[in-house]
Amino acid sequence: MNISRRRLLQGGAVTGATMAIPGPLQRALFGSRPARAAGPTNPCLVMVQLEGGMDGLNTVVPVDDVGIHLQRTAYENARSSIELSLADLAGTHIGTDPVKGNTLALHPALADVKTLFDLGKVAVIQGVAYPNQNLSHFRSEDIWFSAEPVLPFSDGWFGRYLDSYYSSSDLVTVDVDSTLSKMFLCQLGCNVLAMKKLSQFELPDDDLHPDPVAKKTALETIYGVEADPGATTGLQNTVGVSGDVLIGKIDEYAAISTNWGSNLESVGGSIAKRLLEVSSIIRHDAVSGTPVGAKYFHVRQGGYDTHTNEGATTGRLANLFDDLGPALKAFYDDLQDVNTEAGSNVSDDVLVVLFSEFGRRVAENGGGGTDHGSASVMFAIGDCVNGGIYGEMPDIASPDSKGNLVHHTDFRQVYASIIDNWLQSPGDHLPLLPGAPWPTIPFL
Amino acid sequence: MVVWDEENVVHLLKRAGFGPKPSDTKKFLKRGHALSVEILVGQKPSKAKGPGKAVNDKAELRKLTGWWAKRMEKQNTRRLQEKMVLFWHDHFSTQFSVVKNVRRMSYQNRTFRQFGLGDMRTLLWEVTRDAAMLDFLDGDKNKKNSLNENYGRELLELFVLGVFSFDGSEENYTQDDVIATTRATTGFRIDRNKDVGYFDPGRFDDGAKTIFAGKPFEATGNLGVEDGNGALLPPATNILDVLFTHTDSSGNLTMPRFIGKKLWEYFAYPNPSATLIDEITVNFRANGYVISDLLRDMLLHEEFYSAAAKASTVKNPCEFLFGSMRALEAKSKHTNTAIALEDMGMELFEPPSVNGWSNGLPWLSSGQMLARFEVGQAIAAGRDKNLVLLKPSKIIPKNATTADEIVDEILHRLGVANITPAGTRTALIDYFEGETDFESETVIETKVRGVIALALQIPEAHIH
Repeated sequence: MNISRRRLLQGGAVTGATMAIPGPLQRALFGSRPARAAGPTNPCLVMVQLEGGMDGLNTVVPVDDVGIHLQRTAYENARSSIELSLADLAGTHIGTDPVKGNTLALHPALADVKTLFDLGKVAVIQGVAYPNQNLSHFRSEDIWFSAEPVLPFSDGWFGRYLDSYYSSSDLVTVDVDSTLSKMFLCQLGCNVLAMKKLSQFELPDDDLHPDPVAKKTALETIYGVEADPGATTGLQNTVGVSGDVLIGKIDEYAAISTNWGSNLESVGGSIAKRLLEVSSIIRHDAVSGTPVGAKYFHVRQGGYDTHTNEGATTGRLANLFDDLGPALKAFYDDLQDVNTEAGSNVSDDVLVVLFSEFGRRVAENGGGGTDHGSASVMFAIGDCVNGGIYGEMPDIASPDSKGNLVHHTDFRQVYASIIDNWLQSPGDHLPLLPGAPWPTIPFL
Repeated sequence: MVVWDEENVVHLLKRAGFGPKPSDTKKFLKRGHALSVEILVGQKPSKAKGPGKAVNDKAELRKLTGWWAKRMEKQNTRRLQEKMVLFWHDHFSTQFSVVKNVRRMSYQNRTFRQFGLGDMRTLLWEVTRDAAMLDFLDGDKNKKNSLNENYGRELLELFVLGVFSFDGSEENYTQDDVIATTRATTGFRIDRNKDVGYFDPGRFDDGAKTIFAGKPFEATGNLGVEDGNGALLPPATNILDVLFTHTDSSGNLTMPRFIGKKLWEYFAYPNPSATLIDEITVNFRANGYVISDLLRDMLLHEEFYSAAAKASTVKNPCEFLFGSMRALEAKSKHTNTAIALEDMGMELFEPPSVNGWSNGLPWLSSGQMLARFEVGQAIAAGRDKNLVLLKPSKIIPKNATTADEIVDEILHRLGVANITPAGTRTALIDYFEGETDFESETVIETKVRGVIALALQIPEAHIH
């Protein structure tokens, strides 16, 4: 950790005290919960991106009307072929809306998430978006990645975090994807591994090089030169530096096993495969004597852009959740197994957060799907989470002029909660998130 | 005035194609700048189409990829045309995993070849009625009284205007404009027997629409694209042409700046100035938005050959693979090329999203960099006729006696000799010399292949 830079960024005027008192509105929305007794020793963060715009309204669904809150009626009026019936939802009730009082249920394909919810391991955060919703996937993703809803994209919110707390030679972040998420893009040249599979992690082996040591030596020498600012500049140097870091890490990462009896092995779909890479790294670092030190992860499940055939209990959304729910449960179970294997509470240090660039239109469209919308729901999962439902579901009968749910919680409140209450200390989000200070949400 | 030397010739051929063979460099050097550019941009439309059965079968798709790869690797006069097919595939990004029909992908690929150097209006029309695109962005489900915004939104955001004005200070359109565009593009369907798109007036929302309300370029009408007989409707009320009239608040036309910037970034370097883009789009704007006009002005512009434009961007996997093959005079049947490109992160006909690939540095993420090392090694090994066949005897200068000569020849062929640091060159020479038995031809050949493999793993081999 780069202490001096951290102090520099915090400056003198800003202290944690600014953030300590939630307003009455915040209390009304989120209630008050006791803070965790002690912070995590080695906080890990797994950001799960549900790409394409997850339909929050078919993810957490109202099952009744309460008083003036005719949420169920409004839901049924807006949706027909994709409507989840009361019978469909009978097995996945998770409790009541903290403000409106309506009973809420998860999509039935998320039964595994309901299991974790019942264990108190899941926080459901409702009504999340950003102001002046832009209905473009890519603009909206840029906003979520940068935490900057006004200016064009310049860097990632987590890239800024890495810039503040690490130096460019630290390698603490892995994106389980073919390319790097923009959430990690930074100004100071932080290094992030991006790779779909740990098994990719080796130098090519070929009989062209009867002496593999000579080859590796040559490559190390070359990248040592290329990374030297005296020998190269600009793009050449950038590539040289990242290659140099990569070659230096190859042997460490190649030693990580993904074949250790993970619960994820029996789960279908790409999201399980990607989470397997994460749980394997976490396990490796917990049980081996040579940790790689990766703590921050990004994984992605695509396909949520359900303009057509979104479906109810079957269809595109159900198919995605059929992969997602079991994968999240198996990942959680993996961490419990690692606890046993390592003889320590590794799982206390791992926070999983689910996000999507936007929710979808309240009313169903002509193709049995939904168009791009606004407010949606986020999930935080882990042994570290204060389980429960946070925030209220937006009023389904009163969408904005475009037919989209009106948000009440800015996504940066969730980021602020992660920074202040998980990764660092209260107030530490101030230099990192545009629009700060943001009230935190007590799900951690 | 651009000095027409080897460095600039190589630069042009790396960008406006897939890199030079040694003989290309000599030819284009003789031709001079203007003629060289004219040969590249002046190609007549090609209707060449790859194999494409109407099936959802990855093996069949790879045949199409192999066919296209062969063109990208081998084309001489049509090299820019093929580069533009790749550009438009990236721009009008369409995924086989959604379309699930190889024939539709092959038709779309032909569309980019046939119309990719022509005028924007025709290209955009062809794309709007393209079966693969109609399927991918739900255009065929977008009909009167049952709208689907998917295509309408991307038309504005990704294909023609962009979210923001050039300087990022203004948003180009509103949700109302998305809906007007969506209504104006209703009525297109797919003929499932022929796998082609067509316009069905019965499904068209014929009602009056207003787009860009309150702006100087506001337009009202039914804004339809085609009449019922397969002909384009007149520009004044055709939504495609109406989009071309969009300007920022200072009156700068949006589409030429959007497309001009995207082409400049694809072919030259990131974040060009507005002044530069306005300069390279003068003829494009004056003469009906013909893409080859824009390309010509870009490739003739002095800034294209400036220091800022060289070693300024990462090659995409096609550029790396085909460029290396051409430089080393390697051969391939290209039946395994699709897999090598996939490993490096560029699965053709399967861009990661409707926004296409992330070009530039993202190509060299850790996993993809290692995949490139692997492919570099496979090129050097050169023993898979379905991927790469390579003969070192073609490459080594006949009278070479030292490691220096061999290393320099390889770096020169790859077009990186002038930018490779001395320390890297020395490491390659040391690697070659770290061997005792130079009597055996087999040992020498293996060693040359080893040096080629390493040379294809240095940063300079992956940027241009």
